[in-house]
Amino acid sequence: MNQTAETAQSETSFFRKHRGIIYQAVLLMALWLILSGRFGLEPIIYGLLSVGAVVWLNFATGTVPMKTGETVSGQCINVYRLIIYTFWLVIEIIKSGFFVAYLILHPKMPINPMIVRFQTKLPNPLARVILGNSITLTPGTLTLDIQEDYFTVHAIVDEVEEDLVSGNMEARVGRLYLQECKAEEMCTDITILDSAVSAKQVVKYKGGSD
Amino acid sequence: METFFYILAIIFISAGVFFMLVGSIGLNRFPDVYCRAHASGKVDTLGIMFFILGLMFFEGFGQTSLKLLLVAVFVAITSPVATHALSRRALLHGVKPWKKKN
Repeated sequence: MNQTAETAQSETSFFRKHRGIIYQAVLLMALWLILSGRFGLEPIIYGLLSVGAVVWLNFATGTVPMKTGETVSGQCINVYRLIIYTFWLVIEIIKSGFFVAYLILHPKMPINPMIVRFQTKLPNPLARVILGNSITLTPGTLTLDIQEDYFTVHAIVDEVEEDLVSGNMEARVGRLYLQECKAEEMCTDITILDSAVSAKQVVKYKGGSD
Repeated sequence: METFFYILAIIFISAGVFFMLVGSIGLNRFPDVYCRAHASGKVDTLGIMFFILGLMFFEGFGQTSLKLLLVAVFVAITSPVATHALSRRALLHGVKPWKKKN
């Protein structure tokens, strides 16, 4: 967290400050052109007006605090690493599909499900959302619940759970934000849960936010 | 060249149909809610992706295939979210996970 703050202070250029808005506008304009398919003057003017309206409406969402008092922001994400991460994620989707299909078509169905809770320290809510989606897309694991820093994960085979607890993927998500990230520090306080009742009792559930 | 693209399209659409069928079989074979969420969330996503890729090869490069690519991206983002929402609600409601009998 300190490292990202220092880099943000050293590079206070205009582009760095309003990076999110610029990317948003470019992506929305590309979406408009793909969906309209016409490149005349009139459709482009309409598109610019609509994109401007949407960006203006979204401008405030970067600074609105959530219930926990944190703000969702993609300010400190490293964009080049994000692109590499996306390619890695596509490969993981294909691998996980083949893996679960093998488990389904196996005559004996060799599944051994278990529920694991662990704690990782990630800087902000957006990183936790990315990690939750990534866990769901990687082979044999499924994010059940996220409460502050605690992830509850369902693993369908017990070998898969060892890969998860080693903390490699958490370090990958952490490297999107921080300069350096060690796998050993990212996965602590591991407990294996026996039933759904104990899952509710370990961390006090606040409720209300779905 | 068109024949080559048609052959690729047939291969990918067949793969997509096969994976969707496997996902449906998994929905019937797995014992509890969470394992079924695995089957529907992962295998069906892969099936839809293959299907859309085959349709893109069928169309050739143009505006329609770009729209299909947008659909694929949308499915890849929303599918894990839907899976997570369903299984989380089941966990908080107190559905007991199935365990292997030793």
